[in-house]
Amino acid sequence: MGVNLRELIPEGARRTIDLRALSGRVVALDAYNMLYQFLAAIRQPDGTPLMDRQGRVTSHLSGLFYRTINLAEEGVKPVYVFDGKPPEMKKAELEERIKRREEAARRYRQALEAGRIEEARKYAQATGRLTSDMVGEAKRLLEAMGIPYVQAPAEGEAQAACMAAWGDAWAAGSQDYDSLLFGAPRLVRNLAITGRRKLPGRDEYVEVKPELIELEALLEALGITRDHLIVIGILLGTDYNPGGVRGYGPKTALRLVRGVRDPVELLRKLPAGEAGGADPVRIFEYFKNPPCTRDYKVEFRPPNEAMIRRILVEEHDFNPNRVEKAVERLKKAYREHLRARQARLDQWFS
Amino acid sequence: MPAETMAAKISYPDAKAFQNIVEALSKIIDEVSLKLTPEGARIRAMDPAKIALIDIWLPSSAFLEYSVEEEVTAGFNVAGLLKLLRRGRRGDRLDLEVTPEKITVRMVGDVVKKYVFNNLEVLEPEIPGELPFTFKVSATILADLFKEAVKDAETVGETMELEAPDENTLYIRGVGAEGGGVEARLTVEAGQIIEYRVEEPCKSRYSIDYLKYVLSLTKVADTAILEFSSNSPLRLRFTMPSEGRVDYLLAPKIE
Repeated sequence: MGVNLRELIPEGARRTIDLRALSGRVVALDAYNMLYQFLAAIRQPDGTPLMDRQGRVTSHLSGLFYRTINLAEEGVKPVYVFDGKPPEMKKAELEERIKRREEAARRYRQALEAGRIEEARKYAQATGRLTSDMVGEAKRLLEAMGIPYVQAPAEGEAQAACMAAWGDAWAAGSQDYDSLLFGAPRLVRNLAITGRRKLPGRDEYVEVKPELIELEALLEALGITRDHLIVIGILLGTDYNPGGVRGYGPKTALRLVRGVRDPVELLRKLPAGEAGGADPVRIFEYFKNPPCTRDYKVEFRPPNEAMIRRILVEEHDFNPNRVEKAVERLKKAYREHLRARQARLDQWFS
Repeated sequence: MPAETMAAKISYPDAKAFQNIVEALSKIIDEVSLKLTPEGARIRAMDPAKIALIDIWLPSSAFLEYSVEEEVTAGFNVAGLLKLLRRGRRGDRLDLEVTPEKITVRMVGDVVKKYVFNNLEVLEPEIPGELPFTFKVSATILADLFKEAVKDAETVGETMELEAPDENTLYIRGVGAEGGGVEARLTVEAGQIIEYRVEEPCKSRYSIDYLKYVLSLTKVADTAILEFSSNSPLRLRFTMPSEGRVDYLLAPKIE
């Protein structure tokens, strides 16, 4: 779920941008975050995910394939970062997620049996589960598309943030704000859902655009440092202490932390058990210095048409004509944006 | 009338020429600001991807009437303005009246068509006043010749290559995806290059999609000046017979 900093981010520190504004930029995308969004969104009206003839879910592959092509066509250079082994302190959150999924699945079945289609779809969106087979297929598809991916030692989001901080990516791409706590200088949200989206439960559509949050601008606007921001996150609740610390909402947490020279001291003084049983200082250290690898290459290769066809059409029953057209678009995007680097004028202005 | 509510009034002789300029603008940006100073009118806009920049300068002498006592800015939606300019006819005159709140546009021909827009607050792009670099090559060619070269290049691919190997020759190539291509060889001696300066041999590539955005400008100018260096931005300068110029700066594609 990630930490919820939304209320804390002032208007000046968040900007809605055109996808084209990311043209020529490498964006390190939190792969699990993206795939889960595809699993939630790409469904039939009654909530059933896309499946092949053998009943295997393919929503994640559909989203990954078409969305990546959309991004590449706009000149965005995506690098997908996959989760490794989750840290021990995430155990409670992961168990909680399984429970939430089971509950959603139960409600989904009930709504479906009662013929409440709209409600069924809503619950179905929360039932998506990414198996290791699905992750493996996603990696194979990226390989075939010539799009780089990175295997993180632990949290994908942390690795994406490190890559952005090291300058190997311009920004981290995720829906969760944890990237900022992990030190990403820029976070781009909404990349999995950019475009015209239907509002849940209503026959209305909205245009979703990418949102850019710059860490420096955010810290400056709030008058705090990254250490303060991490402590605020821990007080509000993170994946490692889901409930946060009782009594702290965004404003209270900011008020408490702002102006404190050593914010970690605040965590040390918290009564035992206040941070949901987890050691808040350990959580702080994890955000501050997450395990990241430098063993990767951000390299775009020409798409392997035969391999894409094999995975999507032969193995998973995708429509061959649609896939063929999309591959043509990907080939053009590769020539135009991924292989040849379209420079930006600001390189010559600075 | 108090000074702050004084309207700036300008009158441009050729609404259609103005339309061609706005056509080019509409391809790269949604909203722009037209800055009116006593010396003339200027629009500078950069596309969101920061790949192309348009800089339009129309001196006060290019207008039939130019009454601007102090700097005023007219912020407008480009698509909206273009829609109404397309309703104009050849020979129509374009009158603009700008106050801090409103922009009144009149197209004056057999009938007078009047439109009123809100004067939008448009963020100015971060662009240096003067370019912090120079060009090693400068070639003046007929604007139509440039247009044809872009259209030829488009038949084979998405990239156009400019090469100036010596002080006589300019190659304009369309680069095909699978190594094929089309080439136009222009020379000074054949009269296709009107003026030519080559400080050193240079070669650079640019997106044809972005070049196509400004083909409408070949209708308002007789000549186009192409300025570039190796793997550096291209500046296309269109000088209008009625005074004024449009500069289009385009970042290169680097392979």
